[in-house]
Amino acid sequence: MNTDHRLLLARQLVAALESGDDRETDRLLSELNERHSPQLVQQLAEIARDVHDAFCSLVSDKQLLDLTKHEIPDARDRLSYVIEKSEEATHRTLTAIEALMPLGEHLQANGREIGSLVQQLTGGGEGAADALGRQLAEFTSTIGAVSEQLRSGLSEIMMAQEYQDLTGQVIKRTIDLVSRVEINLIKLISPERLAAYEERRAEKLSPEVGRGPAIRADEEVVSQQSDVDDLLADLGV
Amino acid sequence: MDKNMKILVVDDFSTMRRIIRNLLRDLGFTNTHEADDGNTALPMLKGGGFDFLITDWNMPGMQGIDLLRAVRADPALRDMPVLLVTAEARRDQIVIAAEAGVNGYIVKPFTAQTLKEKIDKIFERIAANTATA
Repeated sequence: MNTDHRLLLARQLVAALESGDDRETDRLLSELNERHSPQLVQQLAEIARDVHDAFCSLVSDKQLLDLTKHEIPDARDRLSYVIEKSEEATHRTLTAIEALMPLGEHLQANGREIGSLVQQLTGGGEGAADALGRQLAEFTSTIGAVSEQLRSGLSEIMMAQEYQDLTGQVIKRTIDLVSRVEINLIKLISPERLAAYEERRAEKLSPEVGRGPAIRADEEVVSQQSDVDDLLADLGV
Repeated sequence: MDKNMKILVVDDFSTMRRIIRNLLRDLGFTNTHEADDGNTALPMLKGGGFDFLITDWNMPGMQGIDLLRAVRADPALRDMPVLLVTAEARRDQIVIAAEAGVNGYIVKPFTAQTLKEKIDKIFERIAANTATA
């Protein structure tokens, strides 16, 4: 389109705007645009249609509306509950373990003491029999108490695992919700746009950003500590 | 290796901090302190007195890798040994950590034995380097 023609269209546009002729304004704008970049306009039109269709089906699709309005916020609460419960269970377990560990050390010390007395006794050490008797008496009295503490500590550890049943159910429901949302969203999106999205998604993310535990085996991911060690050794660390 | 050395354990999960501190106590290290991300850890480190840093990578606020870089960039902290204990297991991430100057890298989930081995190795190397220097 030459300059003269564009100038003419522009003048007509100003006139249409001034006279408040909306239809003529739109026509002239689209003519200017179309000549300028027909492809862009076409793409914009496609996007507009997509958004329009998506919006219409969103409003009519009560299921999706329910999902976004109620179930997703609910899923957030559920996942927070999973974090809360698993953290609570870990602390319960750790508390029990911290209480049990010194018991083991205590028994070990007692055992060593008895062992050395037995050695003295077989070596004919003076008074060793009496000392061993006293030590054994003390040991047998503490062993009952220690056993009881061990039993209750281990049972506490066992009970702390009950969270898994609860969080497992919650996670399953959330996974189900996510797949329903996914299916509904896919239905809304045109195949071309979906393909473009997949392409973008496939682009590599920056390695600087932490991604959490690897849940699937992958060439890019080390599978055990020895792989890390080998890689670091190659790098001179 | 000085069992009384002052160790900072950085992880956003209180349970993981507790597990690492328990494992360290079992190994005889009782002078342990904790922080929940790099932003909390860095002022503590700058406050002085720490001999060893054990940090997670993926944390809100300042990530472990940035904490490592901040430590290496600080003249007062640059020689501090740093051990990453993280679920990040991509090869490119391990390379980045090595380039940033990490002394050891443990992938979660890990065992008490692995923690012991890596700490031993880090301090054996430091002792060897000091001996030759």
